[in-house]
Parts: sequence; structure tokens; C-alpha cells
Amino acid sequence: MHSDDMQVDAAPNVVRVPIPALPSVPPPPDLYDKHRGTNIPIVIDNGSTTFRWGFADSEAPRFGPNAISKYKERKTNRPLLLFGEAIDVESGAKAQTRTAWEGDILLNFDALENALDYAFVNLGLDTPTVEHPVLMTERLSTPLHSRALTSELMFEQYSVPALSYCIDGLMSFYGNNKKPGTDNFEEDGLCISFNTASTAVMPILNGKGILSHAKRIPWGSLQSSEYLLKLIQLKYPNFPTRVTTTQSNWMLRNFCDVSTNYSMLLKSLKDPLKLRASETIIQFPFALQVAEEKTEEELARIAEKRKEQGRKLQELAAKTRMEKLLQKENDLQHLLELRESRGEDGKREWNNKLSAEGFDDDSQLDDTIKKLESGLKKARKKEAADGGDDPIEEPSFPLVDVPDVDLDEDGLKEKKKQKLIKAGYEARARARREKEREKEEKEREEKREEEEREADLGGWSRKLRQEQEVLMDRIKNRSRRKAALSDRKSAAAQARMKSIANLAADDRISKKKRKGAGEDMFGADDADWAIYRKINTTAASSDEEEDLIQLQLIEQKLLAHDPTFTAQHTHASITAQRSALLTAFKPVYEEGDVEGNTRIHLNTEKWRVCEAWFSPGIAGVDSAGVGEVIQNILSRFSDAEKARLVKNIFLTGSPSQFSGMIPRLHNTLRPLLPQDMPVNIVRAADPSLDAWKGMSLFSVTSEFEKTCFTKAEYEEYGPEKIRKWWGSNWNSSYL
Amino acid sequence: MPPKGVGRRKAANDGSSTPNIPSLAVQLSYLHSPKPFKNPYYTKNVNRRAKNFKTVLSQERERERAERERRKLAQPDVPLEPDEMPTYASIEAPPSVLPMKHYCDVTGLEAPYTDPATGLRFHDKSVYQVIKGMSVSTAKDYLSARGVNSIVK
Repeated sequence: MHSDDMQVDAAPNVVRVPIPALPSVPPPPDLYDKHRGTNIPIVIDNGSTTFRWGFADSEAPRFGPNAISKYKERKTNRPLLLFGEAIDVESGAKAQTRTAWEGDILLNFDALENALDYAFVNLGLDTPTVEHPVLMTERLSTPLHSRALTSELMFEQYSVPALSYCIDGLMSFYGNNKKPGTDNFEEDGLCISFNTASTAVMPILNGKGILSHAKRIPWGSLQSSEYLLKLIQLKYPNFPTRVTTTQSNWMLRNFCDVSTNYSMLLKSLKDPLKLRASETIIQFPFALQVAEEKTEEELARIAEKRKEQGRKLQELAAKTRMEKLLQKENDLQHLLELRESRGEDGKREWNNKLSAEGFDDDSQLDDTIKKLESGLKKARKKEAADGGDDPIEEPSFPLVDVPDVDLDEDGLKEKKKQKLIKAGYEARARARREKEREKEEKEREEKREEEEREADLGGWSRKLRQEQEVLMDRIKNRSRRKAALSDRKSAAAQARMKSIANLAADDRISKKKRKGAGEDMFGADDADWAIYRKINTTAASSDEEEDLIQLQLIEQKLLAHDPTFTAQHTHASITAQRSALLTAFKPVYEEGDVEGNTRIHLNTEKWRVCEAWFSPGIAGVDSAGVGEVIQNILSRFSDAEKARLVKNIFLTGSPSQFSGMIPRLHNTLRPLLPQDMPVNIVRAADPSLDAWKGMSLFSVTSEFEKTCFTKAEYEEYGPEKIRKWWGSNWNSSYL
Repeated sequence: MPPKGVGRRKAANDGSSTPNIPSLAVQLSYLHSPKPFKNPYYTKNVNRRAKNFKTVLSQERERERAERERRKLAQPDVPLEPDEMPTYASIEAPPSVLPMKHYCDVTGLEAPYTDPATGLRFHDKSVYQVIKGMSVSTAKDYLSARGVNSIVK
């Protein structure tokens, strides 16, 4: 029923899961000649999702997913090393994926080394060392371990002449706010950098990052994507295909959004119709079961064949039966002839004859003859019965009424036997009569009911419906009681304990009293015994089944005769009914609907997973959200500085692209600030690549050289130290 | 709908009939690309590289504490600004102090009620019916999505 609705009114919302395309072979590495001996810096934005690299004089960086895979190709058994999208080429490669980042922390330096190798190979470097200064990003207040090992790689493995670290968010801010024509950078602003596994808020005054006031929220698109996947798994616990992180990421990017006003949105989504209208349906690939369709003719032929076979079998059986019967008759004839010939021979001869036929004595012969006779009689009767059901003739019991005195010993025995048979026969007849009577009564009852119904359909239906209601109530109460009993503290459970205690106490008293006056009246009333049923929680009540049968009967009658009583009114459908809200939240498809059952309906989730940026607590992360963190940070500045900061709130990083992000931030911040303080929120021109672009812009200024650490300095101060400048971290820095 | 694996089989056949062309994976691999820029005498410190997330973070905290001690000893008169030296641990956003809004664990809608038996929040009685019918482990899964992990006794 639902699936039909769906196809009609929700078809535009259905989106198919994209099938990943095979990676294409990238163009060969650049020729190095253009940059040979130029000292043009190499700029590397080492993001936890995307690795971007290039010479500072290029328009845009090259980039790829920051992951590598080292594995052996199964067919050729050759070791291979793949970077970025190339990993998708084979499942064997995918299984061996390694990333340099573990969540928010740079940790896997083998993977980083492989990624850097790829970048340098890709840039065409063919010199014995990397002869260019490098400007590279690091995480806001990065753990020094990460920095130390990166510096070690850069200076010792690649022998770069100079190295400088910067924070990606600040460089994106720089790239978007720097005025062309001057190297001076004095802008103010509040940079919100949406990273993969965290979100950083950094105040910037006079072009310098005030990192002492910066904060990091441990929530990013990675967490949102994981949260979405978890919600999907909870909503569809038996989904036929595995939903991958790549797919949940795709759903997050394409269908989820930040709500501009979450509580208002939730209020409107309470309406099942609106909830339904808000949904996006994700259609996963499915294979239709190809049922073998048989034509009418084929079906008819098969039926005919089957019938033919049946007939043949029947014929065969009849034939064997006839043969057997014939054989028996022959045998009987033979034995009868044998018996008749008894008188003709002498005793000895007779005995020899008997033993030759396989009999011990006369009685055995008689028995066998009797058996054969009765068998034949039965078989003949059966054969006759095949034609029609002849009434069984009443057997006669001639000896039953004969007084015992008139009978000899055999007669008495025979009389006893006849008596027994007679009793059995009479009992059967009684039962048959009883049955007939019942049937008649039932018919009478039905007729009466029918008359009643015909006379007053309304009244009849009311009566039956009332009965149905009573039964349903009883069933409901029973299940409620069962549920109540499972809770030790519920009134029902307490009452049960009380009755058990009472029964136990009664027993003790009654034992004493029983010796004297028998005053125990328990059981005098049959209802007394009900107490045992009441305290027994496990035994299924037989009433329950009876009620259900009765209910079914009533419902069948109502369904048959009351046109206003439909299948929806039956107990089964009432109990199976889901509220409109739940149906809208997760529409149910019929069992065999393969297409429908490989669908995921996203509705509230679309905003729920993004809401976590503003309140990570809803997903179990105990941290203030973006709005609260900004408020905290602003509170540490003077009003004048505050005004300078909020005049230019700058968003960078892929999640800033959610269309609701800017209006939501505005809605969150506006009430927190004085009315006359203008709030302006802008998004980076290219939230994904602008950090690199800002870096390349900066790396060609004269200032860049001053921010670098040389190899000599590295050897003198150690791998953790850096120079402090406006775009760098503050930890382990010196002026 | 075309039968499943037809295209795939074809591709595999192509691969085997023309063994001279290396597979796409081989073409994409850069394992054997020349890397002259690497220092052949550099030996990586395997132990240092093998550190895990937890050790790195605890090391970081330890280092921060030591640094504070050192500065205190060097300049006992100058009070130490707490954020003068932001570290990975110190810039972490504080817990939220705003009152936590309650959302339905099943539907995500506003949740005015909480089921005392499971601790799940729910939107209305129809969702309550769902919760009533839930197994204990399912209820736990729903709770853990909200970060509530019950302690196993």
C-alpha cells in the first residue's frame, strides 16, 4: 500500500547511490625544468582529508585524498603503492589504506612520507635533494610529536633548505583578505576553520592570529558523517546492504544541512505531512528477483500431466487390489474345498493334508477361513462404497435379549461379545445424533442471528462491536498486567507478592486449625482457585487463546456483513498500527518490495547530524558548540576589539559550504552582541583550496623567508622549534 | 535490467587476453618511480614513529606541565598567563554550560519525556510504544549514539 503511494508522490526525492567510477590514469609528472634552480617554494597543505601540493607559482594546487595503500596485487603478486583516488582501483588496495592522520592528529609518518614522495614525484623533482623551501600546514597547537617527526622527515629525508609551518585557517583568511598591491597585512577578523575532525575558532587582530584565545571544538565533518551512519544503522537495523562511510559522507555532503533555527524546524517537523515532505530517499542498488513466469498453456499442461499421472496410479492400485481380491477368493475356495473333504479321508491322512497346507490343526484352518471371509467381505464392501455411501445396515444382536439360562457356554460368550459390540454401536450412534443436534442448533442459531441482522443491522453490528471491544480490552489489560508484573515496583507486582504472602500465611494457620475445627473454607468457592492463576506469571492463560478465537469469529462476521467494518478495524490491524508520525519518519515497505526495502529515508537526520556543530552534546561529545565557543572567545576582548572581530567572521573548510551555516551563525551571534555592533559573516571564496592559495600567495612575499627555519637552525634548536609569526602556531616557538 | 556480473566478466577477459598491458593498479602505482630526492642515508626511527594517539597526547600534557614548572622556577615573580603557551590540550573547547535541550533518541524531534526503564528520551506515546518493544541491546545502541554508555556490572 505504502510503496504505491511512494512511487507517485515521492519519486522526485529518490536519489540513487552513485556507483564509484574507476580512477583514471593521471597525466605523467611535470617536467622539472621550469623550476630547476629557482628556489620557488613548494607549498603543501597537509589536510586530514585532502593533501594539496604545488609550486608557489602555480594557479592552483594538485590534490588528492590524503591516503596511501601499499599492497601486493593478487594476480601478478607485484608490490604496489597507490596514492589518493587511485586506491579505489581495487578492493585489495582499499583494505590496505593508510592515512597520515588519525582523526585530528598527524600520527602515521610512514603514510605521510609516502604522500610526500608522491607529491615530489608528481612535481617532477629529479635532484638529489629537494632544493626548494617548503611552506607546510600544521594543526592549530599541534602536538609537538607530530611537528618533530614532520620536521625530521623534511630536513633529513628530503634535505629541504628551509621549512616554515603555518595554520591553514589563518592562511585562508590571509588569501581572502589580503589587499593586492601591498605586502602589509593588517586585517581583523574571527576565523572559523572547519576541519575534518575538529573545528577551530581563531581571533585575528592586525593580521595576527591571537592563538592564546583560540579554541578547538572536537567536532568535524568526520564526526558528522559517523553520526549519520550510526543513526542510519539504528533506523535500519536490518538493511540488506552495508552502508559504507563513503556513502554516509556522500549523504552528508549532498543532503544534510545546518538548520537556521533548529527548534523551529523540529516544531514544524512534528507534523507527519511536513516530515514526509522534508525527506530525501536514498535508493541503494538492488537486484530484482526474476520469477519464472509460466504461461496459461504451460500451467494447464502441467496440471493435465499431474492429473494423468494420478489417474494412472489409481488404475494401477485398483488393478493390484483386484488381483489380491481374486487371489484371496481362490485361496478361500481352496480352503473351503479342503474343509469339505475332511470327512472323506481317515484322520491320519487328513492331518497329513493339513500339515502339507501349513496348518497345525482344524481350529487354525477355521480361523484362517474366517479371516479370509471377513477380509473379502470388507474389500467387497469398500468396492461397493466407492460408488456411493450406502447406509450401514444395523447389525443384529439376537443373543442379547436371550436369558442366560437358555444359553450354553459358547452362547454365553457370544452374548457377552454381542453386548459389547452393541454398546459400542449405540455410543457411536449417540455421538452421531449429538453432532447432528449440535449442527442443527448451530444452524438455528445462525438463522436466528441472520434474522436479527436482517431486522436491525445497526443493532446487530453494535452488539458485535461491543463484544469485540470487550475482548480487545481484556486482551489489552492482560498484556498491560504482564508488562506491569515485569516491573518489581509496579502496583500489580506488589499485589502479587501480597497474595503470595497471604497464601503462605493461610497455609500455616490452616494446618493448625485443621486438627481442631475444619474452618478452612478455601476452595468452597471455585473462584478461590483463580488466585493461583493470578500469582503465576509464566503460565500462558488458556483464556487468552479462547479470547483470540472468539475475537476472530466476531471480526469475521462483522467483516462479512457490516459494510462499515473494514480490515482496518480488526484487532490485528489496530495493534499493528503505527502512528502517522512514525510512518512518516520511517515508511514501511511490504515484505517482497525489494526496491522499497533497499531505500533509506532521511528526514530529521539531515539536520540532526549538522546540529552537532552547534551542540556536540546531542551526539555525546561533551563540549561547547560553535556559538558558545565564539561567545566565550569574544568575552575575553574589549568591546572595541569585539566589534573589529565580528565585523569580519570568516568561514573556511568544506563544512562551511552548508547553505544554512552563515544564517545560522548569524542567528546565533546576533542576540549575543550589542545591537549597534555590525556582524558580518563571509565564506572563503573556495573553502577547500583557499588555504593553499593563501599560502602560495604568502610564500612569494619577502616576509616568507623570515618565517623559515633553516637546516642549520633545525640542527641547533631541535625538531620541535619554529619561528613565531602571524600565521604560525605559538607552541614551542621563539621570537 | 542486464544480468549482474556480465560487464565485469568481460573486463576480466580483456585483461587476461592482453597480458602485455599492465593493469590499471600497476599503472597507478608509483612504488618504482625514481625518487632521487630522498636521502639514502636517512634511517627512520621506527620506535618514534610507532607512537599511538594516547601516548602522544599524554606526552604532550606531561611536557606542558614540565614547561610550566620550569618557567615558574626561572621567573617566580611573574604570574603565568594561562594561555600564553597554548597547547593541543589547552585549546580544547570547554564543556557546554548552556542547558542541554532534550531530543527524541528515535526520531530526533523534541523530547519532553524520558522512559525511566531505559533512559531513552522520546517525543510522544507512539515513540514510547517503539521503546517498549525494544530489546535491551537496541536501547543501549540508541543511548550510545547520544554518548550515554551504561556501565556493565
